[in-house]
Amino acid sequence: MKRLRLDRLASQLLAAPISPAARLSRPSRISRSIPQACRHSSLYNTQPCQRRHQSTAVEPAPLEEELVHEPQDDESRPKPLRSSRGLPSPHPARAASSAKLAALHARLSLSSKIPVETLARALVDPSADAHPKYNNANLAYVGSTVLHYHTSETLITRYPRLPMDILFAAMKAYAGNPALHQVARAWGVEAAAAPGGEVDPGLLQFDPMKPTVVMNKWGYVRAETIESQTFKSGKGISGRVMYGSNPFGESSAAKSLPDLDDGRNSKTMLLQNAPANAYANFVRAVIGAVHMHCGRDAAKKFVMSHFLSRTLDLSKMFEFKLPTRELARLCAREDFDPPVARLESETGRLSRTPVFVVGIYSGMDKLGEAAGPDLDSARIAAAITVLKSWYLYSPGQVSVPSDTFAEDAAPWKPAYVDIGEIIS
Amino acid sequence: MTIRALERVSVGQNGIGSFILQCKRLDIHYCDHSGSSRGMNAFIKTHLPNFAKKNPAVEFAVSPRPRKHPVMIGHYINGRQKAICVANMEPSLILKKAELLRDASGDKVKRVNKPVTSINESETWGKDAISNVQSVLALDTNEDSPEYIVLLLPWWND
Repeated sequence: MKRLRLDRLASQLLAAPISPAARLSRPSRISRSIPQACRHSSLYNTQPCQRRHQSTAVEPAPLEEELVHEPQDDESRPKPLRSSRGLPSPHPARAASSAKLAALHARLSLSSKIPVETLARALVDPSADAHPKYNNANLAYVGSTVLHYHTSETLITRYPRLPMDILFAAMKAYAGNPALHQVARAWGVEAAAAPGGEVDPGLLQFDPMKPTVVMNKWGYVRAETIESQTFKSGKGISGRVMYGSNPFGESSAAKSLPDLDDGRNSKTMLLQNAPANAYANFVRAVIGAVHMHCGRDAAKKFVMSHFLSRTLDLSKMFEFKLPTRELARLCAREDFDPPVARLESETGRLSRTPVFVVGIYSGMDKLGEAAGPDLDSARIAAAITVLKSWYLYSPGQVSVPSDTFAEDAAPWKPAYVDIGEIIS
Repeated sequence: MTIRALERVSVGQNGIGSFILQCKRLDIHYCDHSGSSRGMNAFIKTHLPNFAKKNPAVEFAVSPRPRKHPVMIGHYINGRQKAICVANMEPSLILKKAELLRDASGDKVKRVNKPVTSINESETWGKDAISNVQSVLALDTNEDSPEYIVLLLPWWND
């Protein structure tokens, strides 16, 4: 099989410019997704040459001549020769002299292969500078795919029986906007009061009132996704797997797509937490920069050390509706004896605070036990304990598919993944 | 669909997986004329370039503060600051203070009187009184005579 050239694919992505989201002059917090932006990329194909080996770092030298070749209808960066005060984001040449930027680079222990100009670009949100060559949208897209890939493969191989709902929630707990926002704050990233050409390049720049970019799962939107949004289908878990537009099974971002064109402002178009989105996009862009400049293995190591090393108690994410029925179905499916609840011990039955300890047995095997203040809730608690110990089975540290990317890797041994939920 | 997911956010601990130096900026203030700044001025000339080179993760800001005692202020990731007045100190002592500011976490000084601090729940006392009673009861259970009471047999048919 021909080896996939991921780096080449990604550089194509970087070279393909995204149309500026800020061309929408409405001052609303509109979330704009990558797919929509890609559809309008033909605006920028009028450029005379497309460099094949484009770096993510914006070099200061060719800046002036590239500005000359820009389409005339772009108001965001009108004249090549002017003071930095008029630019929407700091000039890339100022990145080398920023103490904050150098300190951030060193604090994250980034490789010297990643230029500070790239880090400066990662700090510019599309809401601050709509020009795709100067904001972090492309880097963040690369970073989000890398992050989601490693998160999902780690979760699935480590917990092969997780229900889809919990898997989506766990993905969000590790790689969603709230988690990435916390990571960015823990990295000591500060936001500028307002974006502009005069601010320090080491500050995160975004404008909560301007349109920005929301990361989606695909580079395009499937027709059936829009269809399913229109007819309010895809609410079940299969629909979320099929039509969810982000890796967390949510579809709110895709929902805004059909609405954007006719210019109506609806509730779904509003980005709920613009600062969190900007901070998260910065974190994704840093992962993208590591991937582009240091390679796949370094990006994996970066994701492992900064994101997957965080603590998450999966057993606290479950909420069961019918645990007893689900346990009975599980035993039937796995050819266990039907479960039997037995009272193991009790204290203070006639007192104000009785405690009953109930164990659940399948034949001679004890599946689990729990205590409760009355017989029924103790039985339900015991069933929940059993179900959690089933769903949270972990084979321990097993190899993940990306381990086979190395040149001298052992052949892939398929990982065990469960057949699915018991009652869906 | 009988299972619903409750949303949570993963918790990071500095030093697990990766370490981020908590001191992000060190402000260094001096005065050209006052005698109390003599040590600080010598520190800026002799020790500071080397110290800054060794600590690239910290942003150093040197600025004059005329007719005031020399001061070093550390700014930390948690948003707090820590200031040390270094009036009349020797350069080597000021270097020690700078190292102290660099290594500090920025948290308030707290008394630590437990051998272990953990974000994990305690096995016996963490959950609630019932689970604690449960473990006590489990100790009392006599393993030799398993006379369990069958509670409800056909409950899985509901």
